[in-house]
Amino acid sequence: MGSIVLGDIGGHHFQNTMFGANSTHPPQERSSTHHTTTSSRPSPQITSNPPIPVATPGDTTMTESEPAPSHTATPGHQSRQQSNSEPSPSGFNAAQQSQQPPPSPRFRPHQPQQAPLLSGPAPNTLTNSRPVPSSASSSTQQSPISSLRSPLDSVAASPRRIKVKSLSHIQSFATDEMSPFSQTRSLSRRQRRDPNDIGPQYEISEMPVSDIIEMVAGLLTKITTTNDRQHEHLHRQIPPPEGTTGLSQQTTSVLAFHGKNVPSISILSYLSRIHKYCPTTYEVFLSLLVYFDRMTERVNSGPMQSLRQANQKSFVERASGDSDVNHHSSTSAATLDDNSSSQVTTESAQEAALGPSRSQGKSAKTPTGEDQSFQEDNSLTGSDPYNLSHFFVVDSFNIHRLVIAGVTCASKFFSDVFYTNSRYAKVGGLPLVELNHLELQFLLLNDFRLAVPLEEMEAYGTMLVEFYAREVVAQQHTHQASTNNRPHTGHHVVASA
Amino acid sequence: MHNGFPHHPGNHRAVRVVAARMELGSPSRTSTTYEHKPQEEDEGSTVKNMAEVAFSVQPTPYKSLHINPLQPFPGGHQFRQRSLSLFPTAKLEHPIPGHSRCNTPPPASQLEIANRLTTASTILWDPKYTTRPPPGKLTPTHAESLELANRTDSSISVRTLGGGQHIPTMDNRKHPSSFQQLEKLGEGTYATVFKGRNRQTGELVALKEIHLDSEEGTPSTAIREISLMKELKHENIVLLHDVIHTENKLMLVFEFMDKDLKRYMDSRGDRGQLDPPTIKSFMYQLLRGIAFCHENRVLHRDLKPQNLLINTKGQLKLADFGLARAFGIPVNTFSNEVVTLWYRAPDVLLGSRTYNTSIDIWSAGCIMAEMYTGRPLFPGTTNEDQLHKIFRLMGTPSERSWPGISQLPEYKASFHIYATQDLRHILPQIDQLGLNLLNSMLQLRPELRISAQAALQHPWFADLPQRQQQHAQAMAAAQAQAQQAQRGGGYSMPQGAY
Repeated sequence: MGSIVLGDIGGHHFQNTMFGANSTHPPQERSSTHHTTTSSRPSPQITSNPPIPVATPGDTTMTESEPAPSHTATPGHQSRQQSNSEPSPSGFNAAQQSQQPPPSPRFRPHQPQQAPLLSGPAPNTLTNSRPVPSSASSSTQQSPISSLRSPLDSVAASPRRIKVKSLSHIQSFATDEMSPFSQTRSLSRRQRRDPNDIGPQYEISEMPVSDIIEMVAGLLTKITTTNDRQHEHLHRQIPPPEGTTGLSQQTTSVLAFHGKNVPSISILSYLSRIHKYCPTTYEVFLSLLVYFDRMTERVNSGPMQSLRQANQKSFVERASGDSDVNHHSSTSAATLDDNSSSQVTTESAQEAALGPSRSQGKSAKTPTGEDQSFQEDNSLTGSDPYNLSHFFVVDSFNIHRLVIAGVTCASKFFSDVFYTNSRYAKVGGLPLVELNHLELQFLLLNDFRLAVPLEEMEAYGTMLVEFYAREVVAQQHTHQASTNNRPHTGHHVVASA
Repeated sequence: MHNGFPHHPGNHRAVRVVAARMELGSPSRTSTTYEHKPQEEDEGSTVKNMAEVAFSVQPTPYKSLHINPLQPFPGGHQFRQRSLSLFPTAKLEHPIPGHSRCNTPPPASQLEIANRLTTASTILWDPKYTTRPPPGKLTPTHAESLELANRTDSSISVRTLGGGQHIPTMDNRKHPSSFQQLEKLGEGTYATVFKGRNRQTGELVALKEIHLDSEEGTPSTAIREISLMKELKHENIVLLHDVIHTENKLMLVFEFMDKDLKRYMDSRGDRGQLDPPTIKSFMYQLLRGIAFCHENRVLHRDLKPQNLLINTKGQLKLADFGLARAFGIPVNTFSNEVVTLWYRAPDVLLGSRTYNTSIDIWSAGCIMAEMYTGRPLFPGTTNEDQLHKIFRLMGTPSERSWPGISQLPEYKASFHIYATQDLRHILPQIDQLGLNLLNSMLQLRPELRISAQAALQHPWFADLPQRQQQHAQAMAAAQAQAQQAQRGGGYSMPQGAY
């Protein structure tokens, strides 16, 4: 039926709003990867201080006096070890040899549907381990603000690393005129100071995932809004079922994400919904940007190149004038040989001037130079290589499918904790079969290469922070045009929304 | 709900438009006869009370595919084969170019439109705001061997590696029938492995078939294995030639290796024990493979003799990256359900989730001992028994010998206290240098365990011919690379992956 349908996961307390404000319980805790290791011993023992064990000589030898990775093994050391040895342990009896080696462990996706919907977070869940920075956090000494304030004399070779705690944190330094960030806004100003200073590196791994989602959603929304403006120019034709033979695998994969209509749920709500029901780490969401960029590059770079070439050629042609076409026909005709047999008629005045022989369209290689030039002109302007419908363009018509497929793939790659596709499908509001198909198309469009070099991931994080801060500033300029620049004190409290 | 493609008036129009514009004239296009059953009952049973979010009718080919998860629609089989055509018949980027009669704008305006499109990197690295260079483009998979037009999806990257040697590639015959399937080699955790032969070249390969489960989708093991092995090209890591995908399975094409280390040991007579020169050579190769993974920020997490493959040339290569994982900024999402029990490091057994590269070193130590004795060093039956067996030999750690150990989830103050044994008692054949290396790999405390890189420098390997060779090779390669870098033609391996 082709619609993204979002329903409540449990199906219990679902009203008509898909994000009912009160259904905030994650369907399941994230701790199930260690389900088999939990033992039944009373928990106090874990934290209680064990009596300091009396170290036997052997005990200390192994772990303390044994030199760490030493390159020189002294015989004396060996003999000392030997001296305190006891009879060999019995673990090497022949009885145990016939044993089959145990199987490798295997990550299984979670089956949260089977878990009680309202189960609270269990101990050892990720939620516990991730410190949630409160937006009201005081300006401690570690706060990036203080480092932001530091003089800008650092060398470009070692960019400063600033740990970003939260969105409000970004907002605070975005509006701070003294911060280096405000200098990033105005490139010329910064360059005047130090052309080598490219600004600090923003480390976002400690931000709450929901904050990162908000930044990612902001950027994706900007992308889709921009690209939607070109939507009608793209002439995307979704091929009918039978008609994919003429399309490349790649084009088919690209079009798989394209919907006829725009889902009404915003990108931010969609991402938040996914994170609520399929919680995962921030890399999963950040990597979406990397993957979308790679897919764009992979699909579009070829066509863009030929588009540019074609453009240049037609430019050259126009410049050289219609009167003298012979001198360049040879080169261009060679490259366009393939198209010559399938020339395209246009409505241009040239066509009218051409006469009946032209209209047959099959007289590919007419010997005269004039003919050739015409031909190539036609193929340049009219033929499909320049049809933008095959481009990979992230817009409102495909972003939701791209996001759910991307999250599904990225979670499986980045995290030891992930879910079944049927869960992702329910959360994403599309049929399981479609998600399975999209997942494969997503992998194909990424050439099955989901690894993101650390440097690339960090670069996207840094630039995303800068982007968000720019947007904050832009908003403040529009919204608070009346409220004049208040003195910037650099406190964190700028936005406690 | 009922939006069977040919019956929907809007879609009819769409077809006509397409046909008119592209003049593909393919009769099959207009004679589509899919019949879609109304989906109400099915949807209702899977997801109740759904809010529908106007994504409504979408005339993609997949519309028909995804309608009914349980009930294949008539003709679905046919359809699937075609639309998902695994091996695109035509590599045309654009169908039948010349037949188009559409009034496509001239390239100038097309280019203008294209230039107005934006991407994340365009916005993020807007030169108005930053002088930072945009991130390097991921090297195209076929950067060196194929024209853009000949690029095919999901074939394997061709890279010249640090060593300077060129990695052989197979031709891009992507159809499963390009390979003759021979006998079954084994049943993996999530796949079946067959011996295969490339019908064109006669080359032997290993074919790993991964079934795509519909509930689970593409298994994470497959996603990790492919993604990571595409980046990890090294002579001590088994080479992934190609990935072939069909509707319900993935087939990974690996270089063929004769045996895994376990079977090699079993077949080598003397109750599974290997001779010291072989052990040294294998350990060196094992550590080289591990070091390469770690340099590229990948943890293998399942090293054991069954996952180390040996070929007739005596080469050892790491295989099975299904549990592997890239590591970057430490986040606490590591599972402690990793590594086959017998080769699992004590810190992981104690419940640590912040482990790192040292867990692979522990496994390597266990494997080294096993090559000497022919028997697993710590054949535990349960988590607790595993710890018990380790402590009985290596000594029970304490807060004194391992500060912080009592904070680990599975730590018990009631652990029986054993003294450390001398490993030589169970490994009488081992020499002192070897014993020293083994001891530094089998350190209980992860921080004290030797790194793979440092282990490769261990004097035990000093007399290894391979090492001397590789030393010379590395020098030559470094020189060549420096030269290439000067020419500006070189590109380097990513410094790490997440």
